[in-house]
Amino acid sequence: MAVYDERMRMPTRWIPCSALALLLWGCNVPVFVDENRPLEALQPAGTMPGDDVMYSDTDLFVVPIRKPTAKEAAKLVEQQTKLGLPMPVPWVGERDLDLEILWTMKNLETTPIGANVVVDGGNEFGDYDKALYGDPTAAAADQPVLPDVMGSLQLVNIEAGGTRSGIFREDQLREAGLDLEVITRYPPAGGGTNTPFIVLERNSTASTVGLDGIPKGDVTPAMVRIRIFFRATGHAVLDYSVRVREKGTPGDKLAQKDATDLYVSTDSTLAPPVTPMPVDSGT
Amino acid sequence: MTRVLVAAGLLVFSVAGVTGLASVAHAQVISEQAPPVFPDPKHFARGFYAQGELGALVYVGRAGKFAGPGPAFSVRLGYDILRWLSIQAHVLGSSGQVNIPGPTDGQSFQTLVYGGELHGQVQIRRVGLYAEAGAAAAHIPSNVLDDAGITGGHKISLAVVAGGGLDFHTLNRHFSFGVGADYLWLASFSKSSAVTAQAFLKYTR
Repeated sequence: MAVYDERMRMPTRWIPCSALALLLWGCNVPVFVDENRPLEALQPAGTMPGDDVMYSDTDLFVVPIRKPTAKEAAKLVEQQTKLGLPMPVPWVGERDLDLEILWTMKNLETTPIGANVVVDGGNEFGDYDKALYGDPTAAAADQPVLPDVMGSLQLVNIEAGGTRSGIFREDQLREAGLDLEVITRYPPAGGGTNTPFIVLERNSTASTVGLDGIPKGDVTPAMVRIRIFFRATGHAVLDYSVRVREKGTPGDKLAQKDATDLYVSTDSTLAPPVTPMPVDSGT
Repeated sequence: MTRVLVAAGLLVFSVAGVTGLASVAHAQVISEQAPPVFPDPKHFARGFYAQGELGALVYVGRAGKFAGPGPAFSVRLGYDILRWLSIQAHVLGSSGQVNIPGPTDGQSFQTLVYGGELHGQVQIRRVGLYAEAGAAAAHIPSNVLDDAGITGGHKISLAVVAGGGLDFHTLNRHFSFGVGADYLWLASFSKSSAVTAQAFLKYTR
């Protein structure tokens, strides 16, 4: 009966194909790693409510990474030799994972306040330690204001009892990882204590100034030591979560919850391999 | 020679009997013959089938407070054991957003369901009314719902699936389309539930 063989005019093949593609698309799953603790901007000791002071809090969050096996560690050394790199290949590089920091600030006052969040930190080899880049000959009040790795010092208004949320995106953390690589291991020739200003004020996608010290074939370490600074003009709290997306096998390098004996140091500061040399200002 | 003559005689007698001696029929058509049933579901294809679905998945109950609805795509592959009964494998994928106060609010998460089902259908001309039920593994790969106590460290849960719908045949013997809804009970995800509603296109080989 020909009537049962009427030609279908609808494209039918794409339906199961698209469904399959969408299922596969969902395979790169991020893991949300909880904060160590909420950051609470409290009134500084010895001040009174209404004083023109900043309330602040800070915390160091270290992305939990498992230790490499002896075979994996040997492979990194082999890779360093093969690439002819002067410094070690990182165990946790930007090639391994993408990070994102999600945050929410809540105003606990009954009046509007201003608040901001900035991020500094380091990689598995060392931190961006601002103390190394100050002017040892200048008074405290005359010290240069060093740039932060991410974030803005500009205060954001939060209404009474209100919240504000934001994200430090994956591309921002990749850029930060590259800047930290320059600051901690491969500063530009003559950069010295000016290096943070050279790289942190530029985006590598627009300008490669300051990146000339990085050898060809270098593997950029990921920014796995994240120091968060929270400041507010009143009592406020900041919650954050770090979103980790492993590029290879999920759970390959990211440690399981409550794992101990992790790879990246949790010390409050980690000295970088390269100490910046003071720059002669010529004055 | 005698045998040949006897055989020839019998043959002639038989032919004459069939052609000449049979009684003549004198039937008269007094009404028109009933037209054949159309469409006759017996002519619809039966056997292996594939079904692509597009719809939405909505968490209900406690999970609905923290897990937002999202689009759902699914595929069912099955075989008609009887005209009214079939078995099928079911794969579903959905993407939703979390509604948890805090930094992870608005983050997306996926729900994947891999199951096996029994599908019963009553066909009335072009329209089929069906019901289906089965068991599945529900998979939420992300841990973003841990904080809300939904997944609580579990990524996979046993799911019980039940649903039904309407199947409309296109008169191309291989194709039909329709709408349906399923209910999923997710044992390990804080005994959460979800409902899917979908439109589908089915090809039967």
